[in-house]
Amino acid sequence: MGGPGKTFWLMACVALMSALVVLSRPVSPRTGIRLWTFTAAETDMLKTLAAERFLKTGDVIHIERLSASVLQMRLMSLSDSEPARTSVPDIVELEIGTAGMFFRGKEAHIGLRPLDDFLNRAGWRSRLHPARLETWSIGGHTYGVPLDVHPVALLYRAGLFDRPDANQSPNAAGIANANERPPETWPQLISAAYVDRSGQRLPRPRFHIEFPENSADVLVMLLMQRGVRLVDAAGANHLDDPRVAQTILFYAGACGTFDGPARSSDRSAGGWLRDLAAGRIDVALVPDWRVDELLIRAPELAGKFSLSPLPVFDPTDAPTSTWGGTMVGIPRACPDPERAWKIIEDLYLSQYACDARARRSIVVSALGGVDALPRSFDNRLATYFVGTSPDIFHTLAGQVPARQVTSLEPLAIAALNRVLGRAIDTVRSGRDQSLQADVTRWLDAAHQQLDAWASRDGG
Amino acid sequence: MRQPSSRTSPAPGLAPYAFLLPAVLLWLIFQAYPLVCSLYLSLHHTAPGGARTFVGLQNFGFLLNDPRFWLAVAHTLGFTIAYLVVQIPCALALAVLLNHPNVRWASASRFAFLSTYLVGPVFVGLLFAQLFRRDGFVIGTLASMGVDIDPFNSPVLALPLTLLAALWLSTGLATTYLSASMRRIDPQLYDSATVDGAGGWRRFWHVTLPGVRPVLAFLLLAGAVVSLQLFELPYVLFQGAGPRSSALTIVMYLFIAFFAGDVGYASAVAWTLVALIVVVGLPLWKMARGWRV
Repeated sequence: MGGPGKTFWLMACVALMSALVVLSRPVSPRTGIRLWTFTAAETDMLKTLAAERFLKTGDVIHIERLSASVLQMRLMSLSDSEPARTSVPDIVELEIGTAGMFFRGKEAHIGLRPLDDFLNRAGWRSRLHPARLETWSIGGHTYGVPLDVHPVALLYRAGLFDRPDANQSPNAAGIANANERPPETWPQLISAAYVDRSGQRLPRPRFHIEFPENSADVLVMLLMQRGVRLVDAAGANHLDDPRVAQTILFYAGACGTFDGPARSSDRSAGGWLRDLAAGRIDVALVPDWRVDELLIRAPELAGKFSLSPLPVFDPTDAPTSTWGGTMVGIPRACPDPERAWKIIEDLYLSQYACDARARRSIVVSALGGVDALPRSFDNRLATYFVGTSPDIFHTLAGQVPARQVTSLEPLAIAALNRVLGRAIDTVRSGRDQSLQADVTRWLDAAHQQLDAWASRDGG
Repeated sequence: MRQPSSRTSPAPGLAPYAFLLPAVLLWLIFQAYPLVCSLYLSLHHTAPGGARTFVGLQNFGFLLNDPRFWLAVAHTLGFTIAYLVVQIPCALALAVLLNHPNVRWASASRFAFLSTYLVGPVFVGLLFAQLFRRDGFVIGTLASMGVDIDPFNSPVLALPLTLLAALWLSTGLATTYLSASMRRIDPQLYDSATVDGAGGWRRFWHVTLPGVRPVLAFLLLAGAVVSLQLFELPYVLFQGAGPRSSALTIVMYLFIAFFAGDVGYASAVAWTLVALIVVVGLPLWKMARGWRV
């Protein structure tokens, strides 16, 4: 029987030698600190701050920007694979919508390092916003430093709630009245959105509120405002809370009524700004980051809108809510957490870093404690919005409801979204006589389904 | 003539296996090993950080009891059927048109039809998102005619928009395959059919269609597999599962499971998808074998 021949043995030798060269190549030592972030503005900011730090200490910091989902996927893959753990970044920023997966399973399985010692050491814990610290804590340990608070205000077209007896002196943009006040409760706001119904066969909307039909973002904000936490720190979901059904009924009523005042905004990038400019949306819930977007991308709308605290359902409700959030943390596989923490202190917690951020954005920092949150350096809000206090977001920040990041929350929001959709369809079809019982039943089923998911996790 | 010596004649022996070895090794490392790993993971609960707990078939049991999974299956199967039912006849019609002797610029047209495929699903998703956004060209034009629709907010229109984008992306490729196949049909068959009095329709039915059957079978099978794996287009168009999960597909469901931090559950979804592809693909494959000429 013939052997493989010379060619084969030559190829085999080449392959073997290549393998030996590859295997014997020394692993390049880990140099500097690796930091992953997910927004362009934050990357620019961090690079500026890191350059300052480099001048002072000579620390090398590699800042890498990835999209939020790519960051999440890479971090999870690296954490999951033993040989790849040396590639895990030392510091990572996570967005609340995508961070839940890292807060899953038993404490030892959480992909981030507990920061309690670091936070307690220099008194940082007492200076950070307590509700936001709670967001990133589970099982009595804090795994992330909150970077923002994201209080939510009501944005409305200036002059929308003018009363005939109010002050009519025009502002710089030619719009009268800086003393208007929107209704104090949500039902009143919806009623005000209709023109006088007397003599009309069908009610017509006078203005449109951004209540998306196919996304539960606004509904979740309303629920948080009412003190409903969809999923708590123990992993229990509260879809069966009666306030969830009540709020869905209210929301579906606003969306499903013929030509009702609720309107979904354009979901493409910048779509809501185009809707504001075109007059398709007159009232919306806006966190500080959305207002930042408005200031930067829609200067032509200056003087046309106002901001106020949110209307409430009950007097005990918070006048605000929260939408979004970012934390910075140290992955469990980071080889030198002490050094990583020093960098976090410099790039995120130092006075210099806070001042630099405040110069660039109106987003309220989570640092400074509730009573002494750092202020923006100018009056951008007061000049852009009619009759609006420049302190509005800082005032509301102190009343932001707590929110828990867990891997169950996105699933709870998806379930809420489905129930909301069914409720709106039912109202629209006119077959809503038993809607309250139906919504309660759908929510109970979703609650049980989510419980079953949680029990798989042992949560 | 001198006989070649035994020294120079290629002896079969181990040589073929030796030359196959690199490819087999690559396949084992990069395909078989991950497959086995994913099967192993599908029997475990996992958490980021490498935690694994053996749960047997629990992931599959939970999956089969999750109404959201069945919603994803319904959407995916519906899309697959609609995709094949529309794509194949359209591609066939275009291929017939492009092979007609009176059609000018046939080669340029073939390239034009194929070019949509070359740009890839992500670009097509972005393009359709621009065209169909509220003040985009299509929706803006319809609005100016008094038709007020918004596919990005409509659970009814989300999947049809995805289908439209998928057809725009892939019909050109199918047309190219069919067109090439039609050009290989012996022209004498058409001449004979014409002499026998066959009209255009009968020539198509009795000559063209049997001639392109193997390619049709391939397109059916490949189209079914690709559309059962639908993900990129709805993900780019809707940044998720679409309004009220109306564009939730099986791979999107898998993606959501992965992003909930459970790679084990996501692996179970992936293997269930494999089973579904086999169930759908096997009859198509058998049918395709029967179509061979």
